[in-house]
Amino acid sequence: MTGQILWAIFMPILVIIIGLIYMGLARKITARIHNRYGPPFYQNIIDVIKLFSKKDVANHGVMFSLGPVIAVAGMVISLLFIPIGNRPLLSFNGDIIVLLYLLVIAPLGMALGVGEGANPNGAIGIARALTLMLGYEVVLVIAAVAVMIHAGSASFMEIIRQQQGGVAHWFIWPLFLSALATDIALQAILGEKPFDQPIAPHEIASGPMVEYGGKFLGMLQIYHAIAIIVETGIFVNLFLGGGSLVWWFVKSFAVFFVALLINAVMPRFRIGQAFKFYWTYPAAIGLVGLIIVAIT
Amino acid sequence: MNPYELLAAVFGLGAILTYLLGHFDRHLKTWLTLITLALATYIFLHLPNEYSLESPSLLFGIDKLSWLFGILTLGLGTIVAFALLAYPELSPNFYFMFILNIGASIFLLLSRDLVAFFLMWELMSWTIFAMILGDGGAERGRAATKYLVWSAIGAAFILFAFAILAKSTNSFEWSGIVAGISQMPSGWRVAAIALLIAGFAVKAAIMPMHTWVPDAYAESPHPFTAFLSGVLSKLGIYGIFLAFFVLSARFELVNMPKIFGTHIFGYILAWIGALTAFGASLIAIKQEHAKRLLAWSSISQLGYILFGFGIGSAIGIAGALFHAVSHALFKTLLFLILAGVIKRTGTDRMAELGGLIKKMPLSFIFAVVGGLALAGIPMTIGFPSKWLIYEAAIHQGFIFTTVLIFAASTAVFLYYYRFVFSIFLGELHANHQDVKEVPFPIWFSYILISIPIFWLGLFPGKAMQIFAEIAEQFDLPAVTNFTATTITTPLGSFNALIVGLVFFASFAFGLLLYFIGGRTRKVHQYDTFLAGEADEPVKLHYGQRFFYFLERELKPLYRISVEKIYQFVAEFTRFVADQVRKGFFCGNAQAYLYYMTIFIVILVFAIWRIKL
Repeated sequence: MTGQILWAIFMPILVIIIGLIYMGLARKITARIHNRYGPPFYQNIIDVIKLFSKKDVANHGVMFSLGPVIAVAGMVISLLFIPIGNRPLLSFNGDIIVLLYLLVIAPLGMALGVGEGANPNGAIGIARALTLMLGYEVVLVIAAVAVMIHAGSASFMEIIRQQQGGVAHWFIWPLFLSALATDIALQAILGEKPFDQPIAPHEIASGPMVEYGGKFLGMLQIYHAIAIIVETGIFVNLFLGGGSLVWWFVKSFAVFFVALLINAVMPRFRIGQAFKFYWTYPAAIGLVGLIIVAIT
Repeated sequence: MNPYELLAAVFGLGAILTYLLGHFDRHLKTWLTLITLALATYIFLHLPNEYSLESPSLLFGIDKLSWLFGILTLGLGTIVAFALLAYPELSPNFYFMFILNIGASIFLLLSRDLVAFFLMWELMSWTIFAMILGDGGAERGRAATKYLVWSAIGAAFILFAFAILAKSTNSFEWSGIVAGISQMPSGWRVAAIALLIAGFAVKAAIMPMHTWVPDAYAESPHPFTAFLSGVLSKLGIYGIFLAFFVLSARFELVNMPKIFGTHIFGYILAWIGALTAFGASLIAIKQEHAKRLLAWSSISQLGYILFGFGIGSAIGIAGALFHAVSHALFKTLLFLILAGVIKRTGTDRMAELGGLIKKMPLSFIFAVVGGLALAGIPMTIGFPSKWLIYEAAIHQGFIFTTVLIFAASTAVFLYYYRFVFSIFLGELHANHQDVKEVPFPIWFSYILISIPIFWLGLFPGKAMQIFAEIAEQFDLPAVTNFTATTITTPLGSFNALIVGLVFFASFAFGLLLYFIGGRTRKVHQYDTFLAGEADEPVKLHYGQRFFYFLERELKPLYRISVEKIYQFVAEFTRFVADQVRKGFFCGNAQAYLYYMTIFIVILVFAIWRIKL
């Protein structure tokens, strides 16, 4: 029990550091693909420390300040509900659907905070993010339902248990189409190109982040760091069989790496195109996978 | 005096006294309404099980199901009446109708025979009409007429179904019908139940019977809309429950063809529910008026309930009833908040509002509470109810409808954010600089509704207990695997209290990060980064056509409109009738003479035949 509580306190900090390193590596890898040199891999940790030590941060009101707080809190609670490296913390108290709803707390809190910032760029960013969410959530759910029907359970622990015993048991093989659809959805969930319309620095000045500076921006960086781990972690747990702590992070980085490679070479879709894309091809792939699972 | 008679007397006298004395003092009518409802609640909680009236012979009784819906009606009715304290401008007519309406709803829930049920149903429907119509006006008149037409169609369906049931079972009492329904020819049985569901679906705002809802909600008095959406739509749900489970559970729907383990009747209901939820939530996204947005949201959420009924498994029924309770609570709250906003600003057009968080912080907080429940965030009542419906759907293999329902609940985030952003966030209008917080009765009613939203959100077991008892009473499958905080289904489990506690721990972690950082400086709302687009502070509230890029992509879906079909039917009927009229009343005296001759010949022929 004590060990579990200590792990519950220690794990978010570990995940934040690893997530920030992921972000740093992402910058480095993208730079190498673009034939640039790129910053060191620990650059994002330095950035967060710098942001937290900024003085004189603009503040638009109470909800504006609470936005990043809820964003971090919502991501931490999601993190506690997915098993990381065979270490289930609270995974027995909720299943995939609970997690899907816990995952929304963070963006919702942030969206409310951005709203009080009263910057139209921020509001447009949120409107785009929500539109994109309507697009990818359908794909994600189609795939998740396929997994739940295949495993006969919605519990992460049960799904991971059924994938034990080597690579051949991973759900990615019997549910290949669902895994493919999930991976396409993951591109938008991670906010990587061609689905980075909510941020779109050249169009709407970083969208939701436009009014946030200093420690608020630092908190949003932390939020993003945890989000990367949680979102790739869902893929790892559903399709790649979880694994021990080190292996789990290796698999999670592999998933992130695929997203990075696409991100590095793609331009940005228009938001309408992105939405339409998700409701056509990935949804169709997912539905075919779902029908195959439902029949067999 | 029998408590049932006393209850009727309280409602009747209360309504009349409120009407008569309401003319003398502006606040007296609301206090009288509150006293009436308090008395009625007290009597309602102490009703004996059965009561029968000799002549006319009517039968009343109370069971767990009527108790649940009755408590919702009286509780939320009282809360809405409390908020009415801030609306002394409403006429005594309104209060008269309001009390009569609640009385009719309560006796509808208590009625145990067809006659009493139908009488109360009609009284309830007509009082709603009177309240929508209010003091008149072209728009309200149109909305009220539309409601009345639909209500009459629904009532006709119900009456027809009742006629079939009474004729085939030789009984006007529910118990007699339930006993006799298994002897009915199966064709009539299915017809009666389908007609009943269609009739109740009008009040429950199920597509394609929903077209009166946005207009009626938009035009009815603002605090009353909360009651109309929160409670009165649930009476339609109550009717569907009676028709689908009480009447048809006995005649073994298992004999019908099955799809994915559910009989075809349930399957159709589930599809209608899912399409209602999906379609209405997409339409809610593009509304420009907040009241219409919430109206479409109501239609969408009521679709969830029908979907849960259609699944028909133990989890599905419990989820549907749970969602009925949670929708009643959060939609009443959201409509009351909107009523408060309209009271202070005079508009519900979202592009004209904005930034009200600075002026009405309490309303904002409760708009977030209501929105969390609407979106189904854990810790509020909205989550366990939706979660049960999803689990039931996936467990029963309703794969396509599950996807539709999930898409609908993702769309909730879109229209909810639009609602709360356009009204409370963004930039404050120049002419709203002096807006004050809503008066005490309104914000206090917010608090009263929020208590059960969180209480049942953290302890869903309390509600599950009641649903299990209801299921047991009607011999339906019941969910039994739950404790006060945890619900377990074959697919997974959910511990509401743990989620709540862990969220507060995570929130503390977030706050810690906040306090690690440096101090902040309060800035003016125009002090924003506009990337050099404007050199002076200008008003840039992003409120109009919030999801324009989405609407553009969804255009093919938006073109589908059941109203167009109704329009076409109406036009066609008018055309045919016109042709018939033109054919007969041609203005030619000779033709009229022919008609008369033919008529007399037929008459003579008929008399001759009868004589023979």
